[in-house]
Amino acid sequence: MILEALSLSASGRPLLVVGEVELLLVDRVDMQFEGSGGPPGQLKPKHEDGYAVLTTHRLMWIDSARAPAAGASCGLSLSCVQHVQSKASHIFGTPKLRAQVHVSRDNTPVPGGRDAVRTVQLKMTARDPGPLAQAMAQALSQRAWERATAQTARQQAAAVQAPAQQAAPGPPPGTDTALLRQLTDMGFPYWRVVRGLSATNSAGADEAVGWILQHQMDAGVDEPLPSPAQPAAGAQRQVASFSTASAGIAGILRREERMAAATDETMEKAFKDLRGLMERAQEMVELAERFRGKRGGQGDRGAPEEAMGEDMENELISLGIASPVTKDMAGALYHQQLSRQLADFLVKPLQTHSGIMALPDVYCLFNRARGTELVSPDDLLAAVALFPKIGAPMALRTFASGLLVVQSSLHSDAEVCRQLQALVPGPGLGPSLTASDVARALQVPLPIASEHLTMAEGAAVLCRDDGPEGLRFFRNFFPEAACSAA
Amino acid sequence: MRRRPGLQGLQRGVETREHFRNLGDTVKETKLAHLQAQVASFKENLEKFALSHRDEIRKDPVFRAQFHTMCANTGVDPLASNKGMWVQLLGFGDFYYELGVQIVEACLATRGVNGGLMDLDALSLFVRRRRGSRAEEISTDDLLRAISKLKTLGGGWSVTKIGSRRLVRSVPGELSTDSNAVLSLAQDKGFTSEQIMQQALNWEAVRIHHTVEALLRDGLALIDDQDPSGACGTWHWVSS
Repeated sequence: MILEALSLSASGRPLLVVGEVELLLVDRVDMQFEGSGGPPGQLKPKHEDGYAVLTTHRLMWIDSARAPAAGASCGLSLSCVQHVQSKASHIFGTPKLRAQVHVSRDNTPVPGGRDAVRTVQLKMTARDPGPLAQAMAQALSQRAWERATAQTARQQAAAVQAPAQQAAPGPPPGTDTALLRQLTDMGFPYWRVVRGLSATNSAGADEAVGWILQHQMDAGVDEPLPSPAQPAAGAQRQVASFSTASAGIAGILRREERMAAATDETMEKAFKDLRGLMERAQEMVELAERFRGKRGGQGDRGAPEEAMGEDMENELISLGIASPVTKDMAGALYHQQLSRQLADFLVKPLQTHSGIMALPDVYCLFNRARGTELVSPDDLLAAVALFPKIGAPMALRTFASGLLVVQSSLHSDAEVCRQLQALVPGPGLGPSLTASDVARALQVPLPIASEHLTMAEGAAVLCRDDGPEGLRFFRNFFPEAACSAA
Repeated sequence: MRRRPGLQGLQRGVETREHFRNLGDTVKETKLAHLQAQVASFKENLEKFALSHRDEIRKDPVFRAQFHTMCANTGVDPLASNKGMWVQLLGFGDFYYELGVQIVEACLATRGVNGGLMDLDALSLFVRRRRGSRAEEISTDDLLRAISKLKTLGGGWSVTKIGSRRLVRSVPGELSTDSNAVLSLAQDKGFTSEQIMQQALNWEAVRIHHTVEALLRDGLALIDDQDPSGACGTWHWVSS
């Protein structure tokens, strides 16, 4: 059976699709195939030394031996699984999970139907596959992937529809977009405004309003303008149904009220109890996204000292983790997986914080991204301590004062030495450096600048000159001098 | 509507135009009011759920992800739990850890304005706003206790008392770039004073004081209180 090869994140966590959430991780899992199987090009009867990840959409097997590289890691879409059962251990065998998978003629899993020519068994051996089989059976019954595809289809349809309504024929060139927005905000229909603007040559809001009011009873005033490029599209469009109830300002008011009432009603239903909210969750998520940034009414936001700025809010939203690693889900793999997730997460914040972040800041941002799944400071420390082991591009650093920071590997000693060397070009003695010069040039705080200098001295890149004027550093030209003397 | 000829027609046209403009504004206003009322009720309901159904929400990973998106977009704090009796009696639970997250967030959000020095009262106000109206009230003592819990993470945080104000410092000296700003300000003339800094950087007096202290301690600046005119107060000569 040929499975889909997985792409992993930089720290070796599987990349999830939108709406996919991890359900369970099981350590030490081997895969056995009927015949042979695995990702393309790495077909074997048995894959050993890995761990299994069950998500709402897929069953994945991650090759621990070659982490964080992908190795033979592979995934199986749950839609292709016919059924699953676990077999308890008996005298001659280890406990196993058995999944019957629909495959096509060329031995790749397919979701049932006409392409499926037979079913093949996939076995996973673990110390206790019971919970995995149970969670998988539950995921199979919930069919989360179907919900996801329906949702993306809806989004795509909306994306196609939106420009068709507004942008595709588009306002004719020369239309004043600021005026256009101002007038549509006042409640006039889009195409009426476009016509009004083009008739008055976008002379001003007053002129356009005048035109609109004079022509609001004209037939077809709200039809899209035929664009010169595709005249057929405009001609084919049906005249929108017209009734006095939907016409004029009163009609617009009525329509707005109806829409608001409808939203109120769905909200009331959704927030009746938790079950109601769960059933309407997707709808409510879309509503929340629409609400975003609309909260800034009068009095809601105080002085900058008291309320969060929009930048920070947007940053928090963009950093959100859809599938946070939890103790319940990851079990024995908790700290290792948490560390990987943290490493992936920190790449972006570290860039904005010039490569160095104190641990309390990390604690806050990481926990905010995880929502309700709080990580305690102790677990965070444990996760950070595992960075070297998982090969993360950052490391924990302890200052003499006991301050703990996470430092991106861009701040590694070798990299800093290279930057300092560039500041003191040869030949000969060249310019000198003080801590404040370095602080200015590298945009780092003073104490760090002096630490950099001491470190570079230790690495024989710079030489100190501790004179009456203060401590200065020059480039280390002794190796060259020794050569020329010899 | 047909255009009417004559002066009166023109006048009436102007009137109708005015009338319709006002109506347009009304539409816009009602729309906004509706929306804001909806957002407020959405937020309130979400806060209620975050508080009372937290365990159930956490049990269902798919719903949890959706719930997080709702919270993030409407500014609801998913971590606003109540202290409960057990925490007070036995001193465990996630309450202070959660409060820690909220405190650090407040400091991070205002760092651009205050450079990491935040008044404890302002901090308290920020955290209360973020936790929402339904969460249990928090006291200054709770804040201080949560800050002390952050020490596990390597410290760098401190609470200093200046007069009746208490200031929380969230940027450790090692990571503060305030000295850089003062040094580059003093670069041209070779000296600076608290007035110059106040004018150029628009910092609070406490922040300036902290930064100057740090510079003096590191031997990067020297005090000169013998200004002949005496107008500028104390000067700080900066060694370069």
